[in-house]
Amino acid sequence: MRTSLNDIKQIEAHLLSKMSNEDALLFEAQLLLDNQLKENLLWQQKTYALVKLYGRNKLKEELEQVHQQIFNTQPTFRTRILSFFKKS
Amino acid sequence: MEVLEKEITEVQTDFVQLYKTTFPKVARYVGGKGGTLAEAKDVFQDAVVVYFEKINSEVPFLKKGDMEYIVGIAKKLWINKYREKNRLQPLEESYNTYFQKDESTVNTSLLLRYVEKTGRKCMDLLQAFYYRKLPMKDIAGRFGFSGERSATVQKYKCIEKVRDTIKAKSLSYEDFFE
Repeated sequence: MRTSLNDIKQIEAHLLSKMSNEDALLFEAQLLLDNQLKENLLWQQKTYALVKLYGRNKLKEELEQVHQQIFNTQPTFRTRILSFFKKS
Repeated sequence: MEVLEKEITEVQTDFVQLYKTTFPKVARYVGGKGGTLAEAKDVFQDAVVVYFEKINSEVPFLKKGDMEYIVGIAKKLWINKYREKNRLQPLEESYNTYFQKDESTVNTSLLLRYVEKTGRKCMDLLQAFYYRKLPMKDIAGRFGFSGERSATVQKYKCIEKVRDTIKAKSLSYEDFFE
């Protein structure tokens, strides 16, 4: 793997606490010395946060599709659900 | 694209079961309290997200206790989000115990929309691994990689790509992140 990808792998291991104590210490020392690495770590953190948000949205979209699909194809189910709500 | 569609259908089969057993209970509760169908749907979806993140693994559907858990969260969310909506004090605090605020700010959503446009395929791959927690072997199959190793390399390439997009976009619009 390219060096830049290895850095990403290392940062990931650090962020997800998957490093051995020894490696973690070494990595923290590197972070102090290497501003580029530190900056990359911050951006990578934001990447995971964004992936999480994306995953959430996707999950909700799939649930919405299921809802539409069942409402459109199963009238008995639909009528039962609608009966729980007051007509407005 | 074909691969991605297959993935969605597979996942949906499980969600159909979950939806059919759990949603009526949520709907009955919300309807009984004078809420709307849209509200029931909203809290149901959020509750499934909470559940999903809690179990932290691929959908092992569906034990009785899990269903009750989802219904319980949905009720709580509805009370916090909708029943109190006419009161002066918004009760967002307990809502935020489920959803951390910093991940859903307007700016982050804007950024997400941009990243989706430039790299949806990478985001799909990354969320399959980090959010859905699918095993790398499955991911390799679903996304058409020759094996786990090449899928893993692609995963890191995707992180790099998304990271660089975020960085470039954030630096040109500094208000993306506070």
